[in-house]
Amino acid sequence: MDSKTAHMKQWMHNREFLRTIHAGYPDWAVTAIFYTGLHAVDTLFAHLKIHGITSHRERNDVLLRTNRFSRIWSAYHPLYNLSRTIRYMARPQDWVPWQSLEREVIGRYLTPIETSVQNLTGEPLELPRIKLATITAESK
Amino acid sequence: MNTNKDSLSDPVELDESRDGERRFLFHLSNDHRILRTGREVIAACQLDISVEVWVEELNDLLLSVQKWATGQAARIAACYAVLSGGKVCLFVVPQSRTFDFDLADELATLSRTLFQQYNVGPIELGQIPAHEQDRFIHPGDARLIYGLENGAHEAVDAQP
Repeated sequence: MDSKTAHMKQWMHNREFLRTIHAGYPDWAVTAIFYTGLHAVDTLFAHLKIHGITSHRERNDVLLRTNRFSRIWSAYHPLYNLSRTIRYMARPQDWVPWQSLEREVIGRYLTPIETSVQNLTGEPLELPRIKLATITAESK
Repeated sequence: MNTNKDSLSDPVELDESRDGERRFLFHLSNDHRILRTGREVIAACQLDISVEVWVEELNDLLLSVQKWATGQAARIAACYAVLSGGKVCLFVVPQSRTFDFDLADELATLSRTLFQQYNVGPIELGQIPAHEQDRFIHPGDARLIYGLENGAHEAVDAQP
């Protein structure tokens, strides 16, 4: 399997996983959303033959320095930051409530990353809308 | 045995984990002296610029962030700078108890501006909550560049 196909497969794999996360785990949901975006970005890099990226710092550096990736950076940077901090928190649900994930974290960050990747590869994908678990009294 | 020759040819080692906070005094041939921490020396070497230039760049950057934060006072409670792992880390504490998505957008824009304007190496910018800031910042390592530290005292100027 070539690198682009492998990253795209993991991108879709993570998308599917998002639907299975129980409400009440916003920290893990944010982490999974971030890695969904990361594999979308790596799919683009593989498409553009940008190889040799082995760390977050290197990936961030390419996104930050490259003008054609500026829209991706605008969405990727907040998502990266959020995923880096929320997993260390004692009460992550206070920082990002579950109810805000779909609209803010997916709608504001992941969706623009995925849209830009499709635009830059010139390969539109019919990505289904990500629907997260509904919060219930039990999952609070 | 020429111990003098040996000692001159052996490099003096500076280990970031051991000497990061240690202060080094440089004696220049023009009789000037420069006092810098090991971490500052390493950061300047990584960029291949003098320690003095790097420190000036860093101070200019911190003043710029301080000015930016002042313009966002309704959103920002405090802003800290930490030198860590060869990076300049800027931690912004929002006024809100939840992650401020609009502020996050502003930080993405700021990160691009800082990268374009200051030669200080990697910069990491992020939000942390006031009620859990001690998970991310050790008070001894962080420099408060805007706002109030635990509501205790006024912000200090971004000076060396």
